[in-house]
Amino acid sequence: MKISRRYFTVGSASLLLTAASPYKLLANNSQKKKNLIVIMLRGAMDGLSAVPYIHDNTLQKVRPDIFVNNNLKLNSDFSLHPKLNNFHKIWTENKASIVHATNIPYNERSHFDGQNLMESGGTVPYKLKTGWLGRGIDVAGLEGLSISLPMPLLLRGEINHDNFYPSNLRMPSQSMINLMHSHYNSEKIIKKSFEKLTSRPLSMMSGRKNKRLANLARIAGNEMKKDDGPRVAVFEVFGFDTHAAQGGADGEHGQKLRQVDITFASLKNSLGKAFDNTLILTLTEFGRSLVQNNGYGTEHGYGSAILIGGGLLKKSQVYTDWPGIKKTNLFEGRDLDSTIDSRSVYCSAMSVCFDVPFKKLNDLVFPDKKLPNLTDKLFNM
Amino acid sequence: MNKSFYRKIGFGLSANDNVPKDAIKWATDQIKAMPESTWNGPKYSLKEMMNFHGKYNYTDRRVLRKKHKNNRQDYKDAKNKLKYTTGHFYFEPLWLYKRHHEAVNGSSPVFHRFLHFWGNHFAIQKKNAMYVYDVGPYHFEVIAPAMLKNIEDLVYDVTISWAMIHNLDNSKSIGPNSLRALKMSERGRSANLNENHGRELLELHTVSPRAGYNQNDVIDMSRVMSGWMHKKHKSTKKEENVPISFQDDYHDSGPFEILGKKYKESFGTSSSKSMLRKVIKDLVRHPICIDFVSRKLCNHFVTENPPSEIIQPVKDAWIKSDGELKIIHEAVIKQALKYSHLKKFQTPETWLLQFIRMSSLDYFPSNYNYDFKSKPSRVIGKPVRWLRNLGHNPYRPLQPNGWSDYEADWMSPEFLFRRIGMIKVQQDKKRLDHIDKSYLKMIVTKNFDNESDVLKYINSAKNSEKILALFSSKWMLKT
Repeated sequence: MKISRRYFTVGSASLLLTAASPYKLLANNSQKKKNLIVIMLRGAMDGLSAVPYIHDNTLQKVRPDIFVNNNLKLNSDFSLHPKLNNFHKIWTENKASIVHATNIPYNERSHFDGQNLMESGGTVPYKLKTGWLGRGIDVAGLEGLSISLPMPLLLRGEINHDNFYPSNLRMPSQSMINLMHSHYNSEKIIKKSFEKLTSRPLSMMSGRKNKRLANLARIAGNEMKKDDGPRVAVFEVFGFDTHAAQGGADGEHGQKLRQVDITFASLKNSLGKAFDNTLILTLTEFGRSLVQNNGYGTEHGYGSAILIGGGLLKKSQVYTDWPGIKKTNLFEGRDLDSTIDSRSVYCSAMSVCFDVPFKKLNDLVFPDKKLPNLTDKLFNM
Repeated sequence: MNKSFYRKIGFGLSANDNVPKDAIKWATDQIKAMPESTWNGPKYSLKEMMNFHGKYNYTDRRVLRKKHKNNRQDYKDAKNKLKYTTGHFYFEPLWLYKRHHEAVNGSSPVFHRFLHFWGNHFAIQKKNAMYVYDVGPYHFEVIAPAMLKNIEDLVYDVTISWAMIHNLDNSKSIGPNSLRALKMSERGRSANLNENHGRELLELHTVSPRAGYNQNDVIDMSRVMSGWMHKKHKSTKKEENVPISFQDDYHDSGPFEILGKKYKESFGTSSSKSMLRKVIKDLVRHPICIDFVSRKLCNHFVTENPPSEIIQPVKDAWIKSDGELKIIHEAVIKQALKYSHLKKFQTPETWLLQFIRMSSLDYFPSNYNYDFKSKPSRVIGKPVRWLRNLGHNPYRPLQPNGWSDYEADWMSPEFLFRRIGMIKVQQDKKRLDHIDKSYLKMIVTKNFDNESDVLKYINSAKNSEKILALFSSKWMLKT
């Protein structure tokens, strides 16, 4: 069956949503449209601050000035940063999970190389010139729209995607638009772009000035809940690189986590029922050092955590192969280790949302062919 | 005839430009010597810019982070103040203004089109604050002078430039058999190569993956390059304000083998130091390098995916002149004229500069004064803002392979909308009111062979949208 789709990304930086196949055409109506949303956390999110280990008091001891005391309870081993209170609500509804002590297989602590790899999905910086999500979308046969200028590497595939990002600019008069339609007729690519531009839904044409995450998330959610709407969205949150004044509950890292929390909340709210057929995952380049530095911040580290929300999760859980945070457990004696290749989480999520077998995605999207399949551990098939 | 030539290899003709009598002579005269600068704003050297960059980085890292560790707001305020004193919001637009001024008001637009091309070929990806302080002067001080020399000099000068070494981490590369590695292993530490720069030199800057190099070639290229790094300061670890030098104790000794050719070093620093040039000398003479770069030039200046008959004369000029850039550029210019009937999609920044030059838009401020104490005015920040709106800032490519040069990557609903919207804003703000009907006709006559088609299309738009019609037309998007 020929399936035409569009998708698009929006972000605070950028959102991309991919469009759904027109499911009314599908014979089996029981198959629901499923959505995948990735929130990129640039600057290295501190997994130990977002989801602290509370089984013993090691963390309090090594982070006396930045340890948060009023954390929200998850289980006997882990708690949640208080700024993630909306995410915590989702947790209590059994629709939020955390994968902990996980990272892409990169441990050299450079933001540039790390962000390149978290987006490309490779193991050698800059070697791959496309992104794992873009390639995954290509494999699934979707067509994309990125809501960013320019499009993040994560979404780059062989096939070009559409893009959108709010601005203050306005369209010319209707008579000019009509003239341009016939004028561009001989130019295939320009013509196609102009046709897409002039047939955008109103939601993309109004309120263009508001680039705040909550608003972009609302636009994305409203578009994605439609049966023929986009299927993939990408957001970016900047500023997790808190070398100084990272602080406790109200510090800089907390403020950034609040942004993530708002994005989760706004998406859940606008998606409505479609939230149950959605997965929202965070993505960051690495974690941060275990011990606080003398600027009350943290340095670049290794293992971090992934926050996941959505009704396609099996249950609320902290999924981890916990390496421990005693000195001897640490990576190079200083960082939380990574015991789960985070790409296996993303590959599993794509497999669920795109209805493509895990192995096929693994083979065609990632250079390492033997990522563990975590689909049945984390998600509802 | 062939008026699109002036947009293909330049920025179009303004109301003040005369249509040259001899197009080839007009263009080739511009690439034979360093053009006189028309820039009337403040002048800074790369060295001065590196000092601003260093001051910004190290004051933040070593002073502010400690001083304000307890208070997020105090830290933010102090960092902003530091940004003002180091010109953090000032220098990027200043260098863009200079770049645009040379393109729009200068008498050598062709030279600057080639400079823009090479700046993107040897891209400095957006990384820490290099786009603020260093990329502009790197283009003008490293690339521009080398454009009058041999391709070998250009590749070499770029490869050992502070900007490229800093951008691609060659200072983090230590030869595994170097003296330094030996010392480190005595202390139980391991020394590693950083292959970033070595790989990009092969992949992006010279032979491209088509040459069929393998991981061993990349490793040996990186070994050859080991030792080219920031001069180490024992007491400080500063890099932003430290020049590049060759440090033999970090260099891996030979032999090396790259793309089937063996290289041997004789004893002594000078032999080690000259090894990189020897390898580059061979790389730029590799047939795949000649094809790869000639193809890229033709793709940029003539038409997308050019057939071999378009590329061949450029390759011939390269081989015959043994890589003289003036000769190579001249061959490209001739192909651009010969095939001026073929269309080439213009990237957003080039299109913007053509719009400004052809419309004589009042774009540049009357002065570029800055007090280094506060946020620069909106007028100063304009180039960054406009380029952000178009999605194409030449100082901020996201990847080391620079910005794409293909229509499919730049033509999307949003990208098209940004161009249309940008002209509309200028029109709505009455900044194009100097263009009346006869002025518009003059611009069209100077710049388009199909004058009557263009005028017919423009005249079918209502008066307030005629300029919009011209600059958003398919003839401007694709030239």
